[in-house]
Amino acid sequence: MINATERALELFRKICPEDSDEKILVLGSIHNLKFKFDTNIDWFTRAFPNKNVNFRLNEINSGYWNVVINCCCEHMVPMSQITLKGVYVLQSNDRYCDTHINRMRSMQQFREQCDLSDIFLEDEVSIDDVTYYTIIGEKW
Amino acid sequence: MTSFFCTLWGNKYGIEYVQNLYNAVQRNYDGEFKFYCQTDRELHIDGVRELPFGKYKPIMDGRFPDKPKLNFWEPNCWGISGRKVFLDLDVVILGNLNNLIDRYNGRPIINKSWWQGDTINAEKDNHLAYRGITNGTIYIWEDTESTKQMWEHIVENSEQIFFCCINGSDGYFSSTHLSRFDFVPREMSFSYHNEKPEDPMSYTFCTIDTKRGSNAYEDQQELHDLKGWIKDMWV
Repeated sequence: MINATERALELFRKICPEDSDEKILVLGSIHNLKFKFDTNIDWFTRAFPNKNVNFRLNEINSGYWNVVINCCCEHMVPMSQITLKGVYVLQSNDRYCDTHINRMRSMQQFREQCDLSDIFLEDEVSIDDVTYYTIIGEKW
Repeated sequence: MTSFFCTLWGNKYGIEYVQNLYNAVQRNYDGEFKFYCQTDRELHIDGVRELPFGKYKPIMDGRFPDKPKLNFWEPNCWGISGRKVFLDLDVVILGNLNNLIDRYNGRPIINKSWWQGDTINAEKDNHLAYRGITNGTIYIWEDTESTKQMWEHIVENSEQIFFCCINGSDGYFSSTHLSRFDFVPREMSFSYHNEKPEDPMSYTFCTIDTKRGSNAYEDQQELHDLKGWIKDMWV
């Protein structure tokens, strides 16, 4: 899981070096990896049940970020519902478990669900018998 | 005046379920009441008033199968106010309902999936998996600011709720609104297929709650096929 996230972030930085104009939103978790971002909207705890990232789309879509990173798409509603303009770094996987409410079975399925305007890179890799799908692209 | 509700759609249960539930309420509730059924059918049951489906229709798309159960939380739904009680059709009432309904104290009451034991109390992944800690076989409530907030959340986020809460309303309530509810006391309800209490008649109701889609549950019979004391109570 952490290896896959690390891979996605490295691929992102290969294509998009750090830029002072970046305003980065991380949805879900990047597992405490060393990575600079502006805002993290993580999952939620029972202490704050209304903080579920999936029920904050209006708040997210009215935000100021121009880079969206989500390496936990399998836990979320389709990324097509995020409408922010900018660069997207998205990752999902095909692992079955109760919390994976939106696991993917192919890169095509993931691509269609993300609905990006332009795709810079697609990466498919198997780690510990789990296939991870990474897409980096842009919405405008 | 207490308003009782149930809902009927699809082909899992027939009209006899509504009739028997109404009969059971008549036998086990002391006080004035009206009985309603949210349905698209003509029931022709004396004493049962049909209500059209509210905002959320019974659309089966593989996720959140009990969408119409959310409609009961709309403030002043169908122009009905006061004390409200929703019952699933596969509930068998075993004792006096007033003891349970009179427990209402300003917070909605819902059943709990007691029979799931420790699993249900393991907090780590319950909310991420949208597992049902609550068991929506019964709701007891009045329209309050808290239930209004819950309805507003439903309306604002329904598309996402229906996607995430794959198994339905209990996953949603459990993950997002658990603290708003009081639970039916443990000693008042049990699950017919999952528990075998020594004295079932000491409970207020039991839920039949058959599972579908899994070989593990293929021995679970529907209420209309059961025999013995449970069938004797279901009239």
